[in-house]
Amino acid sequence: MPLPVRRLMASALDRLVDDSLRRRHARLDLRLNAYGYDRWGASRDDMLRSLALMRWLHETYFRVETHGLHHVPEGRCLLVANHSGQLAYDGMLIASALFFDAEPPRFTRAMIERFFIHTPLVGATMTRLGQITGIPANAERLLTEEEAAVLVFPEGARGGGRVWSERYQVLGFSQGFLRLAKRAKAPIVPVAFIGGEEMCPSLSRGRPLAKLLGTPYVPIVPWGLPLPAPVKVRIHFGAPMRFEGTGDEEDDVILPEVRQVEHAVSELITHGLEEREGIFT
Amino acid sequence: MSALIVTGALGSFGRVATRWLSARGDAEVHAVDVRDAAEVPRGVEYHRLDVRKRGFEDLVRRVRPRAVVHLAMVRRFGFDAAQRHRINFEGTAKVFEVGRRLGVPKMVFCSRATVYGALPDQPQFVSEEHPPSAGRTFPEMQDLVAADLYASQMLWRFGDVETALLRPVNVLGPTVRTLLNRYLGRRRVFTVMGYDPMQQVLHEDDLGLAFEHALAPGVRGVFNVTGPGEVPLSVLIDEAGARAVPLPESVIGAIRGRLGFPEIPRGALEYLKFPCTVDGSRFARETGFEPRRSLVETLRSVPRVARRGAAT
Repeated sequence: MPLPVRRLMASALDRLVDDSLRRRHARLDLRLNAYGYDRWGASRDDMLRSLALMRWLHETYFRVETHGLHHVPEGRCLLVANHSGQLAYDGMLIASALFFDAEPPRFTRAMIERFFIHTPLVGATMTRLGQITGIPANAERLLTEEEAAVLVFPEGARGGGRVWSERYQVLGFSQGFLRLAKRAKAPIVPVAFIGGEEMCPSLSRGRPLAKLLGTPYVPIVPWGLPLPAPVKVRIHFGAPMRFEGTGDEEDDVILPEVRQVEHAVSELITHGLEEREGIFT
Repeated sequence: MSALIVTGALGSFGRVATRWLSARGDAEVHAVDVRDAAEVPRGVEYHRLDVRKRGFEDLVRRVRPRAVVHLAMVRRFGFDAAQRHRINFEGTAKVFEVGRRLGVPKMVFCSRATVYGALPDQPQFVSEEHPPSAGRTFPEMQDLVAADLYASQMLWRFGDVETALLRPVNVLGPTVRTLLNRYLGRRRVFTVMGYDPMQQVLHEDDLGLAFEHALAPGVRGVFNVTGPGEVPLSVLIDEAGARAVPLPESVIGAIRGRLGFPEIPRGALEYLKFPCTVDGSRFARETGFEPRRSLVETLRSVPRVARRGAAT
């Protein structure tokens, strides 16, 4: 993006940053240097700007309702959620729930698909907001050295690009997250994100187009662009699950445990869907 | 008084090493380089010779050093590739071979953290166990990677020689002339549009300190050496007093080497796109190394010379 445009956007967003946001942000356990960056590349100013925008999405646009925040333990934890919404709205809103609704506020580090980190501008922006390339070594370091709350979507791009007929189904977790949790001795908190399927329904993964563009998928949304409809979002956090071990176990030890977590997320989704009154209310 | 030999002593890291180690005053420092010495720090004995030739061996035999700090490497990319290989790889092999044969108890070799490569799919903080992979996107660096790997295999091949292999991050300072320092020394610098990777920096005095720590008895192994922190490239440019000119990657590829634009290898651009950041905790833990210069001091140590006519 040309520099003047970026400056203009930054100064426009700066006007939305108020003292209450600054005070809340100051309570996060971040290790920022003299220039306002942490070692991963998160920037205080950029985080505040994005939080100002997220606050509006969280409170006004999506009217986010959070349940079970008390389940999120202090210190390190691995948040495991269902992926939906085509673009990263799910990760963003789970992070905003932990920032605006949790007491004390928590900063969430989402593990981002490598593809996005390679993409110009997108990768740099994600980094400034404290998001991390989805490599287990990065997550392990954050958990063990910084006691972080790390968010993963073990369905990966399959879940991100899910189509309407697969809505609210858990599409099968890969096992990396479980080995990571064991190695880092981090509890797993299952998370259900409700509303993502309706905010941006996709009819197809657009495979030929995706192949052409080199992206994991291209959502084919009824209204063209993958812009989200103003549905009401509900986020449910489940009781933490702890798994003993080193993370180097055989697959036949790990896989049943992965299924347990899948089941927990699935249950939370079912419960969340039963409880909701309407898609927009 | 014990003796130390520093090879490549007239290079920018060599100057840092001779200056720092001679100021300690506990060893007589012998500086070796193939170039004519205009000046060397007081108390340093200068020897103009090639490490691959007989004269080096004679020197080692005569002064019986307690350690050789090997810094004689060519890192300029304009240099003939075969010549570079001879100096960098064969020179390193020769220095280690002579050192071992003549019973030098300690060898310190200075590589760079850049040998890991700026690859977006490696861990953000690369540890010493990670294979140096720069060659994947930057083939011109093969000789530097080969020399690094050669030095690291000395650890198990010649266990009786205490070898310390240092991989410092970007060194900044008033005297060093690395590719990054030359880049930051311009009035306007190009960046790759849409990218702003994190960079780690180390002040040149802290590099001197790192050499001192590496020379301590008992220190052996491969060590990443990190400084006071990390910042995005854009902050590095701001603090050097330069102005960033973001250009699309394809444009840089098309005009490099023309229109007064610097001739840079394609692979070097990767370092302007993705981080090449490392975990330096092992060196800190095993030697007690702690950088003395703050992050701000380090970034501001690049001379702010607005050179007239310096195009992007």
